[in-house]
Amino acid sequence: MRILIVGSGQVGYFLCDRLSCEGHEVTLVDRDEETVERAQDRLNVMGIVGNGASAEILEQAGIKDADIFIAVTNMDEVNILACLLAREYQVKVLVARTKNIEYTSHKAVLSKEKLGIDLLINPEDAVAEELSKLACDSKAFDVAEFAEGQILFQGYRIEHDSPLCDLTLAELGELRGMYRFVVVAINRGNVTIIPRGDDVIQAGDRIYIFAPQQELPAINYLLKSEQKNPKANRRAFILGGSRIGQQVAQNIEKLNFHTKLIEKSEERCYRLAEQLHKTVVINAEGLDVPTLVDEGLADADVFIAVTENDQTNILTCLLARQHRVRRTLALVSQPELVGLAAELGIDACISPRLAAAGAILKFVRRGEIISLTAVEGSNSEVLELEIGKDSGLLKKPLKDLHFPRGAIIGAIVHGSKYEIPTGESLLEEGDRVVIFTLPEALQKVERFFS
Amino acid sequence: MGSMKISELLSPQAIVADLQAKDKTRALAELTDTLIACEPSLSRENVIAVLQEREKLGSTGIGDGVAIPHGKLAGIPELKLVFGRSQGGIDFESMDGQPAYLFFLLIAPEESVGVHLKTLARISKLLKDSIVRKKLMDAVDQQDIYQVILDEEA
Repeated sequence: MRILIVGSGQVGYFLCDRLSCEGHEVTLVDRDEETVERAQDRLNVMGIVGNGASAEILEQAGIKDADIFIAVTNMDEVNILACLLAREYQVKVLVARTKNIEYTSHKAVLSKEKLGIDLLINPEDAVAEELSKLACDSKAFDVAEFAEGQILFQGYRIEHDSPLCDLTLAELGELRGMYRFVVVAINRGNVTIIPRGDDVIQAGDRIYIFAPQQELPAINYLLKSEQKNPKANRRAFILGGSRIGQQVAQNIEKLNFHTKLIEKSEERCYRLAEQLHKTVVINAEGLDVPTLVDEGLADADVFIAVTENDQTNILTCLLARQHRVRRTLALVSQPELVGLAAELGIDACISPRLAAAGAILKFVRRGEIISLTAVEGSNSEVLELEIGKDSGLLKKPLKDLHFPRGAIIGAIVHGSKYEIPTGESLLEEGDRVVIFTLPEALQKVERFFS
Repeated sequence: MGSMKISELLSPQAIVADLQAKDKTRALAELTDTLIACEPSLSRENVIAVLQEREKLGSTGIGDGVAIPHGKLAGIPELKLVFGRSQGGIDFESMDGQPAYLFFLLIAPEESVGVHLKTLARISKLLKDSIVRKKLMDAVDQQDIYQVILDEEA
């Protein structure tokens, strides 16, 4: 497909990278010559220097033939105007990033319907959503659901006392009669591999599994990560009362977390206290550890640091870990710092821009791909595909189909039944398959199923 | 810390060649009684409770006539195994809907679940082999069953 992207900031660059790697024809427009050149040098994209909200520049960039238009500069007005222009050129799919325009609440004057834009994405909303989701689970991270929730994709951090330590994948495979799940990837240091039978699970690994939803209690028993009363009395701390902090608080108080939100501005605290129903708002500095401890930080279930300062967020997460908080999540904007999470023992570092880019990517790729998740900290992805009736893959055992290396099928869903695939498994029309793929295999996987 | 052989963990006295139980609950009790006979310090009640608790999460009947009920117990020094064989078969709510004939009961110390999993994997692998299953079914007595396992692991 021909994709036109306006704005070469982090979101734009990330999208250029991914979409061009997937074989799309990508054109990038930005006013800054340097960043356009950098993208052109490193990525397989065409660059145009100029104002993305100018019809002339857009024509130069080939808007008349574009299938998808994505405006992700850091100016809301430019993005909206660019999309309105693109609409005049009958581009089918329009995406704009907006930061300050209110369009979701019922008070909102503007909406995507009124603007005729298919997806309006606010990075702060995207990241707040992601953090709220991550807050819910204990040792598991990166939880995503596939096939209407029948199949779960989960990452688990392997601690020294994990029962899976020193187990080979072959041994785990033997347990499949009782514990029906499949380990599709292991992330060790900065490398993600698709393990084979003789690979050994080690302390410090992050493993990714596919498991049927109904098998989860048994799997949690195996992984020792069950909590006595998972829904009762969970305690959460949120540091930073910005829009993100407020949204996370709103989301997780609904999930019955006892939530405390720490904000340093007294004035802001009053506003938050008015708007939040159950969350306790505390006026304190983030690094004011005695106050946090007095408020019951020790042994809390989750600590979420979302101040504007990356360093503060990372540091306070480390402090929280020292006080035995089970789960720590940090908002991190600088891309260089995102990868630190694993090394430091923080459960996840989430960037608003990457969260937004991820949401856009998912939207752009929708179609035959039903749902898709990017795996944090690596470029691997999980996708769900439906087997069409013209597929050349029907009625042949998987082992004869030459499935691409660097990818693995984690589950096959036939209607209401599921199967953890073996070499003998057969695909049928209408089946849905959930696949884990390393970045280099994504295109091959898409071709394989197309 | 490698994985021990099944024959090293299982004593011939912990083998029941002819289970009398006709249902799942009684089968678990009968296997537990054998365990207690070998390890009188264990509490029968506790063992049955952890086994039942595990079964609630999903049957340990893995199909092909095999079931591996297992559980974790705090304060026991080492992993315990019992083998049982039912000539008539017992409905163990297995995935394949078929009765179970061959049973391994496994109780592991709560503190070292890793070894427990390695042993579970070993047992599971051993019993995947239909020839082994047949030999175990055909063995004439306790000692003969033990010999089958010993030979397979040799």
